[in-house]
Amino acid sequence: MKKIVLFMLALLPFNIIIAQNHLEYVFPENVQNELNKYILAQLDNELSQEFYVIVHQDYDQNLGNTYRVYVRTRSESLSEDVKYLLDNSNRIIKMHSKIIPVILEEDFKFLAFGYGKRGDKEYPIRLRIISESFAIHFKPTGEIIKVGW
Amino acid sequence: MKKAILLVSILLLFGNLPAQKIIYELPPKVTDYLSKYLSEKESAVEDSTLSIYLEKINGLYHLEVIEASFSKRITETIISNTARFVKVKDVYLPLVTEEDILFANFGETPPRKEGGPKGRVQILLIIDYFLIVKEIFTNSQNEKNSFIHVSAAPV
Repeated sequence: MKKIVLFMLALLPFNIIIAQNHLEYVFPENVQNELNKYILAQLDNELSQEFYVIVHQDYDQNLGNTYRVYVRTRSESLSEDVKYLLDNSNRIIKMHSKIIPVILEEDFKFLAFGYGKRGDKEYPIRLRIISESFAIHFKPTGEIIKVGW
Repeated sequence: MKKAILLVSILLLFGNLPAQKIIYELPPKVTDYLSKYLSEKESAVEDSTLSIYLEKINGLYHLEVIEASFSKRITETIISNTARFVKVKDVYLPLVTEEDILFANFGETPPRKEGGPKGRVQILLIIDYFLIVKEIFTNSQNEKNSFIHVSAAPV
């Protein structure tokens, strides 16, 4: 009987690895390098340990479609809604032995975090993106437009 | 001992549970339109062969319903792991986004030269020839393929 329990316990780590099958994002090389630099500086200076990333798409008549990758710190004060999103997003980047959750601009537009009422009509409650954070703005080709706050 | 087996069994079971679904609710007009389309695609809905591709073009969302047309690489890398689903009445369709196609890690390519750096596999998604309906904005139809195309302004 003990052998059965030991065998099942031995299976447990593999089981958890299988369950955590993520969709890994790899940004263009320039963007990965900038992300790498920023996160390393944060870790080295012990400013923060846990991060998450928001991918946002912009459209500009001159530039066409461009992307912004916002890097934010996962703090205790995050709302339960954002925590839920981060825990279940399943999109990640891997950096400095960390698995960093990635969430999308669309999550804020199409995900209903409960419902409010206006008269007889129900409306979905959406979250807002607060964009005050370090960001890398780039073209789909990887050409960087701006890095910083 | 039985309790220990039960406990480990529960841990194994919970370890296998997928992450919770992230459910998108699109604007009511888009959902209604999708619902009408799905009512004509009962067998595909039952067989779970439909998925949704969402992209943004010139600031407008474009949404395509795809019927088992994605390549094996997209299915294995993205659809199996998407966690995001679009709710259309009682149906949940797996979602693939433009960002997934652009940034998902589809693996590496061998170096072009011996000792050179490896490349990244990138997927080019050509969707136009799948299109069957462009009802909301252009009203053009082509019944041959299994695609619906709806454009909606961002909410």
